[in-house]
Amino acid sequence: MKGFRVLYIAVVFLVVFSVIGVASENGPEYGGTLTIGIPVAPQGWFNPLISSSKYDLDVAKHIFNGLIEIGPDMEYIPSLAKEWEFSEDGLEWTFYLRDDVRWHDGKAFTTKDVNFTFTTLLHPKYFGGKGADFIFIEGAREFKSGEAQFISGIQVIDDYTIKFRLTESFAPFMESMTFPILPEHLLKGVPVTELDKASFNLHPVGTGPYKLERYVNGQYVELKANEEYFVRRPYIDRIIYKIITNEDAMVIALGNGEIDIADIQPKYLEYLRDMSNLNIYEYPNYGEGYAYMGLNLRKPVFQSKTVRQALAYAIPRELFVQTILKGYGEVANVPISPLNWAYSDELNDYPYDPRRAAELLDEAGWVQGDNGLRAKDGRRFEFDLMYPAGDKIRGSLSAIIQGTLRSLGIKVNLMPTEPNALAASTFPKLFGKTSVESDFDAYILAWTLYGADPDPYIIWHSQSPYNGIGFANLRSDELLHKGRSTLKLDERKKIYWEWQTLINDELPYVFMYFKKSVVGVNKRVVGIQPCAFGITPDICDLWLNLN
Amino acid sequence: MKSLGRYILDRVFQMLPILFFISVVTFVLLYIAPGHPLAYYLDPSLSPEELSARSEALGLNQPLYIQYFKWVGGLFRGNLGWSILRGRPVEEVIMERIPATLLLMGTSLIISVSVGVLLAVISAIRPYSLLDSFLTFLTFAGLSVPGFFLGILAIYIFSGRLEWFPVGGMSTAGQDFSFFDLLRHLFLPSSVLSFINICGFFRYTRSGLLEVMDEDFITTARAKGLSETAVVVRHGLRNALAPTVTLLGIALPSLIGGASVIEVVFSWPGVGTLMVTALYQRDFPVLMGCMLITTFFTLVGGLLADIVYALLDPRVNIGG
Repeated sequence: MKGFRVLYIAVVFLVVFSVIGVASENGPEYGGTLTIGIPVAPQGWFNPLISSSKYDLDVAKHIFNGLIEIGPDMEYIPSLAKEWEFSEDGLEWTFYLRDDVRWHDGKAFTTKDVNFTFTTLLHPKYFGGKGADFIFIEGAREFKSGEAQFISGIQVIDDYTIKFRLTESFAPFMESMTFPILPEHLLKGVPVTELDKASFNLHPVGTGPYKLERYVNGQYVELKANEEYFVRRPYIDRIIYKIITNEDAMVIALGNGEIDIADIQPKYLEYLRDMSNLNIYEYPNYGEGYAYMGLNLRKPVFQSKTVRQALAYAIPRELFVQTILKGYGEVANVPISPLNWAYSDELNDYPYDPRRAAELLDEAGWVQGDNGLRAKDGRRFEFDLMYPAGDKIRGSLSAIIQGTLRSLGIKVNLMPTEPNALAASTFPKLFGKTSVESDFDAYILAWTLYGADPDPYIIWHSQSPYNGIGFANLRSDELLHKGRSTLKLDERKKIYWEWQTLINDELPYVFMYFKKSVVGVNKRVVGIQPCAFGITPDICDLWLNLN
Repeated sequence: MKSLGRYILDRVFQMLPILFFISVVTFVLLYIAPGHPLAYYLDPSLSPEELSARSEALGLNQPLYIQYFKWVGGLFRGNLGWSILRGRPVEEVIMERIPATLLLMGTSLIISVSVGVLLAVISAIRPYSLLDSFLTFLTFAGLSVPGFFLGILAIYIFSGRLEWFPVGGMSTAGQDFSFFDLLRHLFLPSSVLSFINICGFFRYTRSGLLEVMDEDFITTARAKGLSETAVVVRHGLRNALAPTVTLLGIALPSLIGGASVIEVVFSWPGVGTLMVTALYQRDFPVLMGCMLITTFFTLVGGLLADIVYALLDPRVNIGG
């Protein structure tokens, strides 16, 4: 796995150097319009307080800044805050802000805006779901429950210094400081319950490198460079997100130059390789997260670790990555990405080994009968596998699982399920169905990963509502808690390594793959540098060859 | 015999229970379908408390019949509710999309009716001739090929290979409106839609004409010494148009409701694309709004078709 990554880095370097080679001849130029194709229309909520849609947030990313940002190597780098410090015990964090930042409307940016943004996230009536990690600020719980009028742990020292006091040491707090800051002067008049209806959502004002120029519902979003941007003026004058709802048309538009950049499915690569106007980039995309087969651990059959391990050996995951994903992926065995510093490389790979799988199943008491099917205590090994209907890749994966398990004597019934219904039925606790025991057997879905902090608490802690499969393990809970409360990186790493060893052995999910992204980019776009989060860590680095 | 005005009034009153029935059925089907409007963007940072607070704010926690009556109550006050995922009034979200749909559907309807009927007349003048057989075959093929396939084929040839037209959308992004730009964008989707619709209009009108051509009054017209063209156009066509008018009546709601498949294939920012997106997102209020408007126009289309029958054919007595 390590060798694979080294190879990947070599490929990226090769590409980057060839691009820089071109760049140095001409030198960067200002101007031009970059057109990016997207398959779904943004909702029109360019407001990070409430929006959860990828396409709205992709646009908002260029409009707003956080106190800090995540750099190309997944490290935290300054943004609105020029520096920061925290006390030895991790309970006091002080951020020193830049004093030269202005909102797009000319007003000065100050700690008031920071205070406003974080206070809104913790407001009793706030519904956007971005405040979870702020709850460790002292007084946050009291404020959220309505007992306190303000949050005692947020202390505005002066216009450019702000201090946070936490109730307990919480390592991912740094991650929450990447949350985009919103302008107090434009939003303080909007009641928190009415945030979804604010006109600001369609007319956002930020501090970032681009301003929203035009939003044409169903057609495109146009951004214009903020020439006063506090870091530096972006090279590209305009960025357009063009909505193309048909994936074939998207690829054709890349080919004929209507759009400059688009994510593409590996199946189109052959068509695009003939296009002389394009460069194709591939990179392991952190945000793609990992795909997995979730097993309902409340069901007796899946309670056996031996059975879960047998399933991992029985599914030819590497073959799937090589054929269906055309090699654009990596088999996963834990829920932490190989791109993250916390990733352990001392893991059992569970290579495809049907003989081993059969042995394990026999060991667990599921023996093959005369009809070829496995059974134990008179019960057949048979389960329903849900997957998102219309998702061709996960559909193929499910079919492969069905086929290979069938040859081992396990009957899998495929249940293509509408994605929304699938999510609602596998996380019943979220939708007020706490009393009803969730009744699914198994399903295929993926978790996206975001931010640079590896903390997997919310999905794996036994009490978390997102732990839909009912995984409960005392040691895991302990490690998860220790992992988020330890600040020293090397200690945290050790904790997460132990946790990964545990998960890798328990296999509450059968992990499938981390996906790579493939992006087609017109050759006139210069400065592409794929990193874990996309084809460039900084939009201001890109420029267009306009000749 | 009742007057035409009275007849229309009666029909409008008959429409109300139908509208009510369809809205109840749609509403119930949407809401009892598995899934949840808030499951679309399932984000682990959302707590169950926030989700239930959100459900409450949107009224999703209330019993179904209360939600329905609230929706109907809103209708009487002239609003269709708020879009769950857009935070804007539903009527505003839909109204934004109607011009695009009206333009696309209107253009292709006008082209397809005129061309379809014209070709049918040409065919009917010399039935079973080489030209007639060719047109019949072509339109049969046209009706058999799925629209999305024709659309993608057209994009591949005219945008991908020849680069004559853009792959989709209604205007060049970031440019101010120009009529020529609009035409360039309109050309492919309206051509594909027209081709599909021409086939329908052609076949209905042609078979209508051929049936009429055996009637006694046509023989009389021929006996008077009229040319075959005059017989077909002046005497045959008027009497053969009834099925065509029905087809037009059926097509009317699509003027507003759009053709989802073609709109999605050509990224056309119309009501059809909106409906498909809203369906995936479970944006119930937007879906209900779209359903209501399409149902209304379907009923109006049926009514208009009946009225036009009467005007075309004196034998039809609408007063009953």
